[in-house]
Amino acid sequence: MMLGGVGITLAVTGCQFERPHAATRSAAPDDDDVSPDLLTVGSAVTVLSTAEARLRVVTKRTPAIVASLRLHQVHLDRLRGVAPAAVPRPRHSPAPVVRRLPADSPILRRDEQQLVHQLSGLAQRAQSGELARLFAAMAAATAQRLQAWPVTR
Amino acid sequence: MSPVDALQAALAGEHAAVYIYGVLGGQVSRTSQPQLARLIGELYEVHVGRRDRLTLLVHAHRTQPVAAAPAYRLPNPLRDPAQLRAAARQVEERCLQIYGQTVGSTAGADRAWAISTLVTAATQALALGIAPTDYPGMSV
Repeated sequence: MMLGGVGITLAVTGCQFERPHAATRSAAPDDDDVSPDLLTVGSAVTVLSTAEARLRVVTKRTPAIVASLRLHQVHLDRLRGVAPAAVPRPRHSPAPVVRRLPADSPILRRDEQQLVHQLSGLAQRAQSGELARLFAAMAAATAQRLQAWPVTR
Repeated sequence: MSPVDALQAALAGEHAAVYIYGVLGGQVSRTSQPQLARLIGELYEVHVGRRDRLTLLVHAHRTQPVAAAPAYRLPNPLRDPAQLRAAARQVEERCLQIYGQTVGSTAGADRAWAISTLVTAATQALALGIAPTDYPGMSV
């Protein structure tokens, strides 16, 4: 499977993974059936979804926050659009619960910095070089947007 | 590309960056463009540090590090501050691509360093006026 046109091949062990039909799309493969890289993609979707949800409810959004929010959505679309069924759903954690914070909250900034570290860690874990490059690029883009954030209180 | 080849490519890129920043440092006016002069000086030091680190990383693979060329082609003419800045931007954009490639071709400690360098380089590049992108280091 090619991920987002960058030549990333993600394999499901034991069978050739195909894009699922709509009727089967809700069925995520068991962890035992998927390659480590597919699990890493799932982890990336989880952390990005949380970050996206966090920024979506920010009060008094600034353009810089909106830019970060859009970036997370772009990254999520890239991961989800290519391997929807390959993205494991967290079994015990439904929709992320986030606090509603103002744009200049130091907690918000800390969490975004944490996202940079998480994406960097996923780049480190990825077995595919192209997937590692993709996650590292996502971390770098997140760090770039964070530079423009408002000064925290 | 093998891990050591990727590190060698990054080292070759840093040799070029150090050379070009050296030229830029000689062209920029510290009196009329103090901010640009300071930025070029800082980035020169950053690239010297990366070159030295890459030399050690290549040595760790029991490989002779690639040597610097006697001279490098400048990205563009350097007649005014805008052209100096444009040349520096080209160096940084090229280095981002190189570090993206390095991330994808290495593992372990080498990859960890390449990831960290890519993230840092992407934010440092903003000071030169490079616009943020969705995937720094990926030419897609």
